[in-house]
Amino acid sequence: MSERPINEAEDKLVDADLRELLGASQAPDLIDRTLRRINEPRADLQSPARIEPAAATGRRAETAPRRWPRVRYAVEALVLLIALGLTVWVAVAPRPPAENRPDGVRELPASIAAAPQAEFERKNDALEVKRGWFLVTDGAPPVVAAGVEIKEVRGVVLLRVGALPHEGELEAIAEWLKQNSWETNMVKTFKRWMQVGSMALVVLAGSALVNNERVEAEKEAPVEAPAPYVVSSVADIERLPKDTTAVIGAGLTDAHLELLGKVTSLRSIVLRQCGRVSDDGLRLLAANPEITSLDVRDCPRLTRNGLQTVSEFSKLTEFKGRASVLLSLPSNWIKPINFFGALGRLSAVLDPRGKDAPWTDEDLRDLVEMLPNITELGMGGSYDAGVLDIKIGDMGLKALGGLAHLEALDFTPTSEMSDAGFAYLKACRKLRTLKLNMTPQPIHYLGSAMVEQVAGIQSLEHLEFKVGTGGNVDPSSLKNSRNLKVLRMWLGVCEVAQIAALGALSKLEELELNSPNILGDVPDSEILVPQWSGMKELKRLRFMIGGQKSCALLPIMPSLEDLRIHPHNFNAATAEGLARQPKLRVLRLGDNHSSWSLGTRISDVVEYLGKLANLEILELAGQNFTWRKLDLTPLKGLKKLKEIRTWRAFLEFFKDIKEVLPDCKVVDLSK
Amino acid sequence: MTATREEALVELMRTHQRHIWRYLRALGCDDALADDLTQEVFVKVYDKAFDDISFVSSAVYLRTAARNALFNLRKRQGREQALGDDYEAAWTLLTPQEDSDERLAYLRDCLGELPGRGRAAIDLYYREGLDQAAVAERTGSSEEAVKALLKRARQELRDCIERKSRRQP
Repeated sequence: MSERPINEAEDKLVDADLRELLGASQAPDLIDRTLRRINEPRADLQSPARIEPAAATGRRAETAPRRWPRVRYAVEALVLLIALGLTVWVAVAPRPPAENRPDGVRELPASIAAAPQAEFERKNDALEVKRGWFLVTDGAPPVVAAGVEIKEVRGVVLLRVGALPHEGELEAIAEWLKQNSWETNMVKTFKRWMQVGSMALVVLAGSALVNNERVEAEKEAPVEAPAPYVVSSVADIERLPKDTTAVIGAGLTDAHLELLGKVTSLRSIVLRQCGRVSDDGLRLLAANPEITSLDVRDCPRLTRNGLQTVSEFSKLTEFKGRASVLLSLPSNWIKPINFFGALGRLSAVLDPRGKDAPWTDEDLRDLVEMLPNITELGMGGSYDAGVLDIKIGDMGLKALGGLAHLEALDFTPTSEMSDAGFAYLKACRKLRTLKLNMTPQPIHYLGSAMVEQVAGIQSLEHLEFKVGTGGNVDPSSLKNSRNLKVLRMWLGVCEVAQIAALGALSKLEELELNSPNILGDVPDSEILVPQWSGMKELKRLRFMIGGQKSCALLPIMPSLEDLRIHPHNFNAATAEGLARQPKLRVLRLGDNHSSWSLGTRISDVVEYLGKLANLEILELAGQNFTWRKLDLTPLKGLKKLKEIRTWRAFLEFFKDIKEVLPDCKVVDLSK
Repeated sequence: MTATREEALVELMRTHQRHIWRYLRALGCDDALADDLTQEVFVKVYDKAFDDISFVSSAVYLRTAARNALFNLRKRQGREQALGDDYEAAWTLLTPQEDSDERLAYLRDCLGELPGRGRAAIDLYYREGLDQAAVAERTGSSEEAVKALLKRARQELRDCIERKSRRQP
């Protein structure tokens, strides 16, 4: 026998197994009972009068008749007689006026729960509430009271007959709320209580029609994570405010981590450039068990021994680590990590192994087997002397289909992958973010076929497609990815109609199309892409088309705030067109700082810019911008301009612009 | 409920329900409560249109759901208490392949290897359903000694199951 004493959990487990193996306890077949529960009206909402005794559906109810068959039959007969009697009585007895009846809870539909002492009456298809508290959910009939009608509830509405409740009154119904899975504290935090007619109500979730007006639940305020403090020295750590919750450590050592372990308010730590952090450092950091988020992907010296310390961070819900170390953990350590992975977030990055031991399809299969709950996977792929250090092909992509919780994936496509491999990614039903990195060598055989398969991943919200295919890419198949909010693509040669098809992406908030060479001699009118008017949520557009095409005829996009176009495409007609965009406040002219040569046309640009009176930020970032001897007077029309961003502008420009727009800030992006 | 979803749930339950039930029993639920919460777990899974991607990932997910269901129930009953990580660690230690059938098979083998007194006490207590006082009377020892003897026997069985689990690939 081992020296390690058995703990309570192990003892209970062995005890339970022995009872099953040797005793009467048996794992039952619950399929039929579960299906019945699914198909019956749910008792999720329980008013006290409707709570069924546990024994009615439970195991004890099934075993009792075996011991007492006669008693059972007698009881059943008695119940039957009573039921018959009641039926006759209900049919013939005069009904008392509704207001004198007891609360009538049994008459409530399953979609409404009433608190004790609540009073109501069924009136045709509606429920008239007269007194007390009610929870109304999906499928409920209209609920009415003097001066108010609530119907079409798609969520949960809490209401009371009377005035808006005060805190004490909410406390008084705490028990009833709890029975219905709502905590009083949760209800108290809702600020959108309404007094409508004789009723006070709050939409706790979803929406409802209140007097024919749709009322939405209060949106949960996004919890803004506090900006992390960057620390790289003892002095930085000592200067941290007492309530610091998040830090990014840059170039720290074990000794620094010991200090951070004493900052009890800390909840989130990201370690960057942490080549000097060892397993000991992680142990010292574990002195703070309150940490919930830990990112050690940059720490190459951490080994499996160090990572086992992760279990000491008992409140960890997010962990980001290097795949090679995670996979080296013994199974009894991996399992607990998976366990919190199911509750929170687990990220891994395939850390570089060098070209001699690249990550392979088989490695990915192991990863999926051992870390099935992973939510974020960075397969990266970097080049070592021109050779990609991952050798993952279609079968590796197939293995990723086993990651049921995967939400974000990025990698560099390899020459072993085909469009058929990308089709496997459709199995990742929760995949929201896919980033395909730039390859140094064009992958000619990918392109449109790959895009077509990626378009089949219906859950995608964010797609970056930086692959240098070197050939023609038809993006039009993405029109079916209706959940996309962010799309960034590097295109080769394409037709206007193919770009125009993206107008079907009505949820798109950011679109970036780079270097598309529009096929043929296309007149301006064909760059109209009127279909883009369907992108009503689009806020940011980067539209870098080759050649000197005008963007004058962009359709009106009601949400467009931020536009980057090539200066070659900016002329008088473009400026006229952009002036019609109702929310445009940021205009960026320039593709990248080193290649843009606007040359002699700068004066034209300035002249036309004056028409964009709503601009707040203007970026003129061309390296060869001819700044001297400019007449900046037209810029006086930019009354709202707060900032001009330049790239190595001459000093004269700074001086001249101050004369024209004295309150405008000028920033040199090259510094 | 569509037939396809129902069929998927039935298949999922066929594979996992006994493991989840045993997990709940190991967390201290009696048979009836384990029945009830197991059903609750699968009803919730049905509502969420769960994807059964692989045996291990589903097993881990379902255990998490079971644990939460028990925790929430206790919270509602005002008996809020943390279900410590020991329970999860115990399960993963003795069920590394997530297969509790395999664990029970090891237990059966281990019982055969258990030496005399411990085995006798186990038989009387679990197979014949005697309480500790009755076992003490049968074996001519004190109730405290029986309690210690049973605990020691369970510890030996734990070691044995752990050994056998480790031998597996």
